[in-house]
Amino acid sequence: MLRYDTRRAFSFRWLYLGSFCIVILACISRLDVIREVWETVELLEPGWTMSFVIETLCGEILLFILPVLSTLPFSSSFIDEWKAGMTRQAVSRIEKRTYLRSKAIVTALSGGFILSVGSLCLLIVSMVVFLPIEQSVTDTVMDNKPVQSYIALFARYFVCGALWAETGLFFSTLFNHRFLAWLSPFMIYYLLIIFHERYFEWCFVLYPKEWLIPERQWGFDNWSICLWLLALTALAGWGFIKVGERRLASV
Amino acid sequence: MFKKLRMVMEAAFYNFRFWKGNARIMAVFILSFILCFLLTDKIVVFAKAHETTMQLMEAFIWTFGDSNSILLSSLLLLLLYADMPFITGATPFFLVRASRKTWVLGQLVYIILSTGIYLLFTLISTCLLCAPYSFTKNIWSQTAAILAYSEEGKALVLPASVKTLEMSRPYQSMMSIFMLMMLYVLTMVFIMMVFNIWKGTVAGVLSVLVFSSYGVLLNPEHLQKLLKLPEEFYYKAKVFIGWISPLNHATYYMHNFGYDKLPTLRQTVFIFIGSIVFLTLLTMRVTKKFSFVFRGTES
Repeated sequence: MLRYDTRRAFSFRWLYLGSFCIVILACISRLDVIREVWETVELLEPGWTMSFVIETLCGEILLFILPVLSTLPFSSSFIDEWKAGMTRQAVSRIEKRTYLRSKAIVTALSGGFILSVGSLCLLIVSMVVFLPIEQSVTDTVMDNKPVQSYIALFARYFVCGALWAETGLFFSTLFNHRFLAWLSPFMIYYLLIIFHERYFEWCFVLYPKEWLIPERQWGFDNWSICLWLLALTALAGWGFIKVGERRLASV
Repeated sequence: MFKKLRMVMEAAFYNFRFWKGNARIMAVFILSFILCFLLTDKIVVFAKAHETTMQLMEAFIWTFGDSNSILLSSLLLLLLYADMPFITGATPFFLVRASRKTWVLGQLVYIILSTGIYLLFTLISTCLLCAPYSFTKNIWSQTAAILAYSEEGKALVLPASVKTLEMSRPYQSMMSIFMLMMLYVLTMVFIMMVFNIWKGTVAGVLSVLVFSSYGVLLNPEHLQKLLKLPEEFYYKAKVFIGWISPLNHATYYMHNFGYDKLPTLRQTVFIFIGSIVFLTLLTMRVTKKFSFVFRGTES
């Protein structure tokens, strides 16, 4: 990974943006629940906060925005540098393949980073707000299943972000269009949903909602979803490197 | 005359050359396909839940018989016509060989053709998306009957009105809705063209937004809630708005089928065609004063 890529992709503004967008959208999507909690005088059931976070992270509004949000930090990086003429300067100092590989890896990491940091921020905010009004777990048996579910969801958020960011990078490079870096993951997301919901219901491995909210058995206690998404991310990254090499051939 | 017509057609078809491999154009059509999916989801879920089938055109009729769907679909055209008034490298050559009037007529013909292609794509997409649950015979389905004659249709906010079902058949209704949408969208895009040439791109986009907002604000349901109108005034307001709102003119069930004083389909067609002819003349007039700026010639 090149240092100037990591410095741009992991700057604090993306951290703030990811956290802010996910927390705000989560609040908007669960406004009725929050109002209900606000109006009630009784303490919440033990484990309520964790299930609230998990349900919110699997909500329609967040699923809708994730493909776009993950592309914001770095998906348009190659096309931006290419159009600004910076690529020529970069490939005169480093190998083309190293340059492209760095872009592919950093884009995937940045996409995963923005979503996972956002989900973590939602957890922290929810704990600060709701945990004080939740019943204590001292008199009941501590159930750590929601914590495990959250950790699994956190990992799936990370790989989903990586996949969508990499998809944006691939399509923007393929069509030489900056706009597609943000729009293509959104379009692919919906085309895959259409593919599954209207035509091939048996093909659940290509159903984006199944990746985040698995309803079928995926093996290894659903951890194989992460492996599958990593394989898809690697495929998109490989595609980007091939297209990028073709584009850089004349430089 | 024939030479002029050929030049108009050449100016129109030249714009289609930029469609090949154009990411913006592809994005418009893919987004339109996604929009059709989102809009037809309600009716497909309803049919699945009741285990009934649909007529192939019904999804299009129920979806685009609603003013909000027409509005959403028409706004996607802002992206398709983002480069209006379509000044390309060939424009100076067209202007040398023909007049400004011929060139602008070519652009208007291009708008008509591309809007037709876009709406045809929307129709085919809707049919394809609902094809697994549909039949092709020209009769209303059981789903349509449930939607029209029960309270469930109202709950779903689908405009499956009894009068639509009783006055025509699916293919005829589809053709009427397609024509209404086409005329509404053309009026909107022609307004955009006039303002684009007259005052610039920002004014063009603003004119479309104002035109669309005017349609949204003049909704009888919204007005009834806002002004707390009693039922008899609501009916009068509905008829009045049916006449003055272009979006209501584009909405199929907001027409007179012999029951009320709303505009008939024929009257709506005349109003829209009249507006389009007026806007065409206005476009030709404002083009006379339009200062062409070509890339590479700026000082």
